[in-house]
This record gives sequence, C-alpha cells and structure tokens, in this order.
Amino acid sequence: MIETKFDAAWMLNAAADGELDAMSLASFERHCAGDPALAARYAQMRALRGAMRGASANLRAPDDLRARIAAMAAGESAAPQSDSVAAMRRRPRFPMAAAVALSLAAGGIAERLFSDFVSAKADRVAMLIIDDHRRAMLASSPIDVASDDRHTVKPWFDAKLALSPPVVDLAAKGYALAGGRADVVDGAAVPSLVYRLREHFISVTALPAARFSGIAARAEANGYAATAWRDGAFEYVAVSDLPRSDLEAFAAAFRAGAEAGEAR
Amino acid sequence: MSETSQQLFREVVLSNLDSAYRLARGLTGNSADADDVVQEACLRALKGIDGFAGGNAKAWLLTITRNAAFTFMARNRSRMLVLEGDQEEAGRALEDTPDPGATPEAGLIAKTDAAALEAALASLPQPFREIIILREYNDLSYKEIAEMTRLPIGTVMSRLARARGQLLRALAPEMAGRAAS
Repeated sequence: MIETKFDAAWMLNAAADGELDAMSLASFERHCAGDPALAARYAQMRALRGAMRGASANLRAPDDLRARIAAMAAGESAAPQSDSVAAMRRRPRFPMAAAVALSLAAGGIAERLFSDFVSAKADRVAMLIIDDHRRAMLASSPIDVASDDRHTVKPWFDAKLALSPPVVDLAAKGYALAGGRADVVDGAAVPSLVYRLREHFISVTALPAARFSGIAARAEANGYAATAWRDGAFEYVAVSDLPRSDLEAFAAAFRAGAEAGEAR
Repeated sequence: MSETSQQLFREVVLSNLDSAYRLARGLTGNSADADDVVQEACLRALKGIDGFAGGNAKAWLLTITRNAAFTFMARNRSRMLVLEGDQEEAGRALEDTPDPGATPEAGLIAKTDAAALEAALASLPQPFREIIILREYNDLSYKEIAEMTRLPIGTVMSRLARARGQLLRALAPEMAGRAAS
C-alpha cells in the first residue's frame, strides 16, 4: 500500500504550482491570511517560480543546432560543416550512439524483469488502483474531466494520454457517466472512467494488457472492492465502495455494453 | 525516408526543439553539452519517428532527450555522477522548507539573475535538479513528471519541495551581498 503523506511544504509547493483544486486553494489562502510566516513563504515560492520561468524563457535552441536538426529531416548529412568551431569541439558520434543503443537494450531487459515482477505481484496492481480510487474520493472532485457525454470524455483521454478505452454508455442501466480521470499506476499514466450509481462512485481503470497482465480478479482493501477482467487490448479494473455483488453487476453490465457496441 | 515521416519529424521534433534544448541545458548545465545531447536525441527520434503513436509529442521528445542526457553524462562525467542510492542519501539532508527568516524576501528573489539561479541549480543533487527542471523549464504537471520519471507522485512532490528549499538557501548569500551593496 502507498503511504499518503501530506504536509505544509507539499501544500505550499502545490499551491504555487497551480496543482491544487479550487476548494483546497481557497482553504490554503485562508490559512495564509491568518499566518504571515506562511504567507511570506508562499510569496517566496511564487517569486522563485517567476524567476526560474523568466530565466528559462530565454533558453532557446541555437540557430545552428536547429538548422542541423532540420537538415536531418530533409535527409541531408547531419554533420556540421568541418570548418565550424562547433565541429572542432564536437565529439565523435558513434560511441555515443552505441552507448544509447546499449542503454536501450538494458532498458528492455529491465522492462521485462519489471513486468515479470508485476505479474508475480498481481495483487499489487489491484491495490494500487484501489489506492488511486481512494485518493480521488478524498479530493474535492473524483474526476479530472466532468462530463456525462462520452464524446467529451474519449477525446479528452486521446489528447491527454494518447490512449483511450471504449467509453460504454450505461445510463439506461442506471449507471450515469460522471467523467474521466488520469491515474498513474506503476509509473504508467492510464485512463479511468468514473460512473455513478446513486451516491456511489465506480472507477473503471483501463490498463494496457501488453504491460499489465494477470491482475488479481478480485481484491479488497479498506472497504473498497475491486474486480478485474480482460477485454481486447485492455485489462479493466473496476473499484467502488459498493457491495461486491453490486460491483460485479456493474462489471457485467459494462462488459455486455462493450460487446454490444454501445461504446465509441 | 518517406515524405510522411519527414512531415511527422518536423511536427513532433522541430516544434518541440526549444523544450528539448531547455531540458538538456538544465540537466547538463552548459550549452555545449546541451547541443550534443539534443543532437543525439534528435537522431534517435528520427530513427524512431515511425514508432511515435500520436499523443503528447513534447513528452515523447523529452523522454528521449532525458535518456540521451543521462547516457551522455554517464559517459562524459562518470566522476560527477554518484550512484542513485548515494543521491537519495544526499537529498535526505535537504529540508523541505527553510526558515523564512534565513532566506531572501520575495521581492529580492524575483530580481535574481539567470547566472545566480543557474549556480544555485548546479548545487542540487541530480534527482532533485531534474524534477525542478521538468517543472519550470518544461512546464510539465506533477502527473506528467511522475509518468516520465516513473516515480510515485509523492516522490515528485517531495523532491520538488526539497529542491526549492535548497535553491532558496543557496540564493541567500548572493542576495545578502546585493542588499548590502
């Protein structure tokens, strides 16, 4: 399980970074009004941000570098002209390329070890997803994009994650689409659909099956239940505080809806 | 190389070149090395352009640039790079937020020049510098940083808080000098 740690320094940074939702920001600003030391730190953070962004705005790729890269696209030689100063200090390209290739190969091995590890710990992924759902429920809004229209939710995932699962319309079955959320599971950003049944939320997280496979079919933690199934390119995990039987009924409706093509 | 691939390369790589350069500059700390890193990253991007699956082009190019920068630094500065574990240890010494009395006022910070900032950035251990560069130079959100670095979002937030605390401390002597003169 993930330890969730909140403290003042995180809050201060998240506020300065615009990462707080409106409710949290309002409460933070109220604290600042009654605490001059906190307000001074907040002003420092914002000033530091401003200074760094100002400095980085002036950093642009030099023209000669841009020209060399543009030449690559045109299929011309990427090597700079031999009489340029840049060429004299430029190191041979080959060892670098070889090193990159090597590190990519090593990365591939690490990736395989990693996925073995994940499948050996099938429960772990389900637990991470339950944690994501819990965190979302603790935030003032459990969704990043609020819409009951799948034609809004799907393009949002496309743009945000370059990965979008079928969005099944289950309104007729009593499950209203509340919106979508991007979760991070084991370092991968994945889409979660959020449905609502009465006052309960149900998150359906779609994991690329190529990376996540063999997720525990059932998991439970802290009053939340999870159920997982595989469909095409995705492993789905649904999480809710609904009773297990209601959650399974939802999962069955979702699968049936996806099969019947009530998805876009 | 096909016309379509060339077009894709222009859209994905050339339009995000400044962002890639800023990342390379921030990670290596100097413009000559940043040049080399960006050129290498673009070569890799060119070879892999047909594998680009659509979506966030900036994040795709930055991921390649980040890998190229680490390879470059491992090759050229082996003595400067410490093992990840040692760096975690080094970072633990950084407090989240310094006492506001011991750090410069907001008004002075806002006037910090680029050279002083760069010197302060150079004092940060690599894993901490990386997070703040991705945030400020590349304008990535916490989620985007977590995804790119494969770190839990809590680690991203903790490193960012510590990095900024250390930057404020590192800037203090310079500020004191300026206020006195």
